[in-house]
Amino acid sequence: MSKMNDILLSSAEKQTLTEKIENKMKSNGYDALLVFGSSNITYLSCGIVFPYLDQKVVQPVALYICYKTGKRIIVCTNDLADIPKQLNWNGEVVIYNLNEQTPEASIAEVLKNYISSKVAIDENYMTAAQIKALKKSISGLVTVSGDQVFDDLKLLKTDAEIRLLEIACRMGDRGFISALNHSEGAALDALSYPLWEYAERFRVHVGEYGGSCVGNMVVVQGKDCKELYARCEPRAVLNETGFVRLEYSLHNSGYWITGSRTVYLGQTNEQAERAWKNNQTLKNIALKNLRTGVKSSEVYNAVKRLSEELNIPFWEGIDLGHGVGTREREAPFLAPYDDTLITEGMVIVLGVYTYGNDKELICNKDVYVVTNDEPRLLNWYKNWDDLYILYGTSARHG
Amino acid sequence: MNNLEQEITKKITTIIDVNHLDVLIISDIYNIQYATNIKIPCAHAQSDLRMFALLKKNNNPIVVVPKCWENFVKESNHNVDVFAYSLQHDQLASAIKMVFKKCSSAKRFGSDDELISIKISEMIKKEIAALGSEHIACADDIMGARSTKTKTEIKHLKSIAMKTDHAINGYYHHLIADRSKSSMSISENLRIHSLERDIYLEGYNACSRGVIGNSISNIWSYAPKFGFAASDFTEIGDTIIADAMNNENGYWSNSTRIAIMSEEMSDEQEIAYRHLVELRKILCNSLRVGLRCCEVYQDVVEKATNLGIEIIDGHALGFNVGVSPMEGPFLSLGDQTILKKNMILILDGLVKYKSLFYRSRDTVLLDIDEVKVINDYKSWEEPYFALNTI
Repeated sequence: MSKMNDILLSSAEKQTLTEKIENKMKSNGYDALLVFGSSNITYLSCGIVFPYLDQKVVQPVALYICYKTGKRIIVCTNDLADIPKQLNWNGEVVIYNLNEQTPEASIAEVLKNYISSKVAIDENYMTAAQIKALKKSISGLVTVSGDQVFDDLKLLKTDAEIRLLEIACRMGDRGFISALNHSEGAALDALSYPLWEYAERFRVHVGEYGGSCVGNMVVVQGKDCKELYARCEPRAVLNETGFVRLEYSLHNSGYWITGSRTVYLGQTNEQAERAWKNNQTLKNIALKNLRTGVKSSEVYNAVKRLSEELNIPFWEGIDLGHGVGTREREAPFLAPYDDTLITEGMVIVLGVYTYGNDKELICNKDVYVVTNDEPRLLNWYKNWDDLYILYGTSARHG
Repeated sequence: MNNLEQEITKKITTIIDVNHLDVLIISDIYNIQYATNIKIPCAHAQSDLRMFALLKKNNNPIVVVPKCWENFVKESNHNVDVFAYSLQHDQLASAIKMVFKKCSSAKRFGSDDELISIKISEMIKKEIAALGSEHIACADDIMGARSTKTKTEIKHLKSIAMKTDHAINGYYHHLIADRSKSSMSISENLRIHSLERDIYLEGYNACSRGVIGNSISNIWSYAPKFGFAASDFTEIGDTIIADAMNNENGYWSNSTRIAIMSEEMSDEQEIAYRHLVELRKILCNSLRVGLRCCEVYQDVVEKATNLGIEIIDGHALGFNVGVSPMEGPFLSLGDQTILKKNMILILDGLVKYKSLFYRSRDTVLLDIDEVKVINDYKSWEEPYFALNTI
């Protein structure tokens, strides 16, 4: 099978990741962990993905691992209990019923049968109500924050994780190209093409190319393109000559990427081409500085310095990039507040928001894995260095 | 302020009055949307970026957001005062600092911090303590307010519930029994047919999925592609279970309906579907304003068992819906919440028959002497039947 179709972690790859996690936990003196955050569950279980946990469309799930006893338990409600089995989970699944006043209290009542020693928890995710319920159910419970260790672990990806992210990039690019292909035959017709359908075609095709889920989806054109996000009116169509931008996120088997792609609707002009070239200039400066040993903040500062020198302003309201993994935004952040050193094995989304002639925000994000040499592009499926023109007309051909 | 904002402001003001608060700090994103009508589509997934709302009586809400969301929030609601923190310093610390700068003279702080992470909850409590002020837990008050709907909320929830049923039915209309469909195609078409009815574009929890044939032996089949399975194809006579969650005006629907890829059901399907219909009737007959959720649960379980209906042990038989697709109270053994007028509940009909799970979700509005189903574009006394080739 082509490595680009191998969308799950193999048993050996899971084992490698498991050992990495276990060694790190033990070296930090942690014998056990208990996490509730979706990204922590996926990462620390090595690939178990539950639906819609962050959105609270299902009841809370907990992952408990004790390195002393070798116990590995996922605690969830009955409706979710088949998921770990489908994903070849090699630990136990314990079901909790909603027998207490709240789901938090119900899951705590079950967990008390398993937790006996000090546990590292994810204080960045676990709710205050959940820890309150756990402390009520488990007398003498001792917890320590495991967040720093979890975050440190996630910073550097294994080869297998990089592969899953590379596949996600390809799914995203193929999804986006498909959205373009569907809309460019109709966008300038009398009927035009709904904005929602442009975004929805992206989602549909990501699925068709094997993606697991699409998250963020924002499509903006015209004056809305001046903002990062804008509401997509249900009846809005692609009808304004100028930049159109899609913001998205998606995951492949629990490994998320984010993206932003800008195209030009209608026949382009010199100003638009120049604006695009300026965007590429700043992005390339960021890329040139994305090197091992450089502080994340320095990548941002380098762009800021050159932006002033070259008189190419950029939108300073957002970072220039961030890590991706089992969450769509994770460390490091290419922003003034983050001094994390760029290191080999990090996977980082990179994109600069610069301005069009009417102050539209233009961005073209790509994903890179940091190496000891130049960063390696994971979004290699199509080259986006030239401004993509969304132009054409046809009879509807489906 | 529009009608919805006026109605919700009144409820929030009551919470402030009852608890004698100087300020109410809201951190949970669904509560922020409820109280301010501001919704960031990716906020739950990008939790390094934090948003807070501060509510004081007779004042515009104050909303603290990261710089990148500032303009979107300002455009979303012109009746809030928006303050943005920059990229210069740690994002969470900057946000908390800005929040407390806006309410440093308050003596009684209400907060819903129980619903958010331990880390943020502790930061909020520490700041309040540093001011020598009092922390009042208000998460239950806000969730209580959210659980009974106002006139405009009911209007919105009725609209989206019915649209979603219409959308599911609209897609089912395309089914032809002897033309196979993949579960992925079903998932996609459920969403397309929803969007064609003017629902809002949503990612993430705008779940739509079709589970087919023997795959309904798992409630969440096709992991990890819960809504995207490509390799499962229908055969004549298969059951299709379609889930759709949609959003309009900030309010959610959460629906599940069944189609049969035939003009009639098999004996097994007949029995399973009859169980679902009976379970719905039992639920509607048992739901009463003034009863506790757990009393309804016990009553339904007992009656269903007597009729030989196999329901799922410990599974909630229903839950609330509003600015989020699933929220308490739950029709479960443990939930002591008293049912009230104007609650809108999703009845989660889920039965097992011969190792397969059959599900149908109805949305109901509770009134003093009536339980009204509000997502019945068609009667679901029978499932949708696909035609054979026409």
